[in-house]
Amino acid sequence: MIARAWADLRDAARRLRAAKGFTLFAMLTLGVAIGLNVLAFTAFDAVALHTLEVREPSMLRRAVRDAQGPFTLDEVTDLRGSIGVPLAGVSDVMPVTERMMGPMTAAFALPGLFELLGLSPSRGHLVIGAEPRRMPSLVMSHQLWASRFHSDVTIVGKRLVVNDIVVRVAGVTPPTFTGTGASPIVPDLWLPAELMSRVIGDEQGDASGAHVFKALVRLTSASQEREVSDALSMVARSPIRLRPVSLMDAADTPEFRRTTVAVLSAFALVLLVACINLAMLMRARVEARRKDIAIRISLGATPRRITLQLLGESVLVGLGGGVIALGIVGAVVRFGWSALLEVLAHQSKMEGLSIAIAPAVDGRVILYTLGVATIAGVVSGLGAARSGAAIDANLVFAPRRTLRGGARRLGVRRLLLVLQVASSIALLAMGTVIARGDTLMIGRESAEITFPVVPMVAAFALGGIALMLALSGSVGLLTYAVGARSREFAIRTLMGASRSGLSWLALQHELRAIMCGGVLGSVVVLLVTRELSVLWTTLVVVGGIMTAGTVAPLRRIAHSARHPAAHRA
Amino acid sequence: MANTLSLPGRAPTAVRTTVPVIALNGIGMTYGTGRVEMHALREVNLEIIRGEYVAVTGPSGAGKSTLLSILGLIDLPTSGTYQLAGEPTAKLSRSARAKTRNSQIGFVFQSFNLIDELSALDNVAMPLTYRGGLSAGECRNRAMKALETLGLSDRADSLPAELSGGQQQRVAIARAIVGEPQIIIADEPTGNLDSNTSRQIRRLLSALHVGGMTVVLATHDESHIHDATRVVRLIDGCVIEDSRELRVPAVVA
Repeated sequence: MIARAWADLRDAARRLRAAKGFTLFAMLTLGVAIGLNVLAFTAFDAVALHTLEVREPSMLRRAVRDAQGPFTLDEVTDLRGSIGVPLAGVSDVMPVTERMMGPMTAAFALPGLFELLGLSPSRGHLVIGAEPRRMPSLVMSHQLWASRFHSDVTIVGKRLVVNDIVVRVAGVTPPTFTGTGASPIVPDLWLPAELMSRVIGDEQGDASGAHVFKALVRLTSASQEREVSDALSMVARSPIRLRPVSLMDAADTPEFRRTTVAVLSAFALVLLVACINLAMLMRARVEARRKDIAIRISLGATPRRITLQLLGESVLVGLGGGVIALGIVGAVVRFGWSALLEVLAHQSKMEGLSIAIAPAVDGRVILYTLGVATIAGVVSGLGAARSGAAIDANLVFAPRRTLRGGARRLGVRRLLLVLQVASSIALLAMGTVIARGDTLMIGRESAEITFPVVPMVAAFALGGIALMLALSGSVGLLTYAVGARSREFAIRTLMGASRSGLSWLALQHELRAIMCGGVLGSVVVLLVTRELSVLWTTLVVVGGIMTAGTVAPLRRIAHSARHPAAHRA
Repeated sequence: MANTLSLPGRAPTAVRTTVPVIALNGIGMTYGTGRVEMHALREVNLEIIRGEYVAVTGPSGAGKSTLLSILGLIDLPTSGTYQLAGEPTAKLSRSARAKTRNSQIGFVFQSFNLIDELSALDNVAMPLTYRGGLSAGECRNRAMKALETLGLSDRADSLPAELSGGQQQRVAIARAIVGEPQIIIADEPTGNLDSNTSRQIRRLLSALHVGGMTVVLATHDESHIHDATRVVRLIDGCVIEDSRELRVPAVVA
């Protein structure tokens, strides 16, 4: 069974190698569409699926009360004294200023936070203290220590002046620790909660009454959850639930889940369109290989085996697309993410921030990519595989029947092509407008785009993807239509039709769809940007690329006209 | 070329039984429905005994290919019954027919029907790869033996396009016999070959017959008719002549 599957895959690989142009085009199309999905998943993975880098994160819980949001310092201190399991409080991340080093970020914590998290220090001891008559101590993040203090080995015991309060450095966190999830920003310093009023009190009034603290609980067994939440609810006099901790608390909200589902679904739709386009191309390939498949059936290949063999081909294309997708995502994560952070830091005038979110192509992302790529391959190839398995083996006796007559109804797919062409024109034109730093006109209001990089890259990327989809859709439709009319073209050739006449005949329907898409896209561009010159440039680019996409299918017309069976058509 | 072709794993046999390996009863084949109907075969009754060499002949459009297609389980007749090796075939699914075809029938076609992108060896091994239960190495070994039998072991790695017409047809015959089928179905096997090469192919088919195989061959070629032990003539889908000589044929010189 496995040997047979392996042999089928090798056979499929050989057939794909023989059709390099098709294979590359199909893999690129799928790769870009899969890449978009994997990118979204990578972001989701980085935000929601990574746990805190602490000891046994599965036993750690966040106490959440629905009504009043985060706790005040007094509330969290009360909670801490009232239950039998360890509880620590830590505040949101706040901006502070150190006399020598300038702006930084800090979180305020009750004593015992780092013991509860179970971290081992890079330097010193992870002790936050504000005992009377002693100098308060803080814990420094590894990121700050490495970047601003150049990993100074004598850091422990040094004094920092944070918003005019002198604090001693007790220790440095381990490099993997990125905070407790209240914010994607990693605090540079952890200061004693008792200092909060003194450190930031001037700016925020009575800081001790601010609802900025979250309570973390470490369970000793999972069965304790109910008991602990009941005890906490009693003390707080309002219902408290225990939620698992994650890298970003915001990932544990219905809004986040809704957005994630919306983004993943939208990108899945893009992938579906790519699959539909590719499916046409695959069917066209099966059409062209009807004779080969008929031979295999005559030699005893069962319909199931033919289906599996053809599916093997499309799954390989899907996996190839998956590898391309991983390459794209790897490049975006490597270069795009740091560029985005720099841009955001520059915009928010907060350079040197450490961010807890670090998207990476990890095992989960690779697994997700392989899954999506396999599904995309199966979806793209299922129609072709089924039509291949249904091929009439009688073709082995009658060569002339390898030529097909009559165009098929392809209405829905042509409509899809119209939309793809329109959206590629609209998105590319908007990208150009933003890139030139022009003003986007929406209706009569002008909206100044103050920060063009992100929308520009997005518009170009989406425009490029839409164009790629349009191209694959057009090539797929045309190849299929030409294959389906090979017999008609052969007869017309015998009757004296010229190649250009046949090309025009084959192109008519697709041209109409492309032109409809062009008109629709132009209307959108004019409504939004009112930029005629940009529109012309975009139309020339899109038109040129779409024209280039007709070359290969049209060459097939010449082939079917030369086909020996044409003389018997 | 040896007078008898010894097949891999099969001893030549001169013993002919009278059990019909193929039994067609009232077979009809109609294409199209409604007002335009084309009767490709009408009421064909035919019993072919194991080891016979049957030449099916007749003008173009007489129904020869349709008959071969039904015998090869590629098409189902629209009427009548077909028993292959004593088993009725009417209720077989497409998959079951494919499996039966794979194990019992070998095909040789006019246009060779080799897969262009596969080497001669891979083309010959293909029926075995569809059989299941054989390792890839075993398939290739058996395919190599079949190619050796046909004198083509030195061309095992060649693509069909690199072979002459006669060589391609010999590869196709190797592919037909590699699975040790009971029946060889050949459709105008020399139709695309010159007279010299045709003679070689005729010799091969006769040798297969002498080796014990049942050969059913559709042909226009009178010389083939001389090779056969039985001639079935079709016109307009009807059998108009069925002459049988109960002899082992003289092997073509």
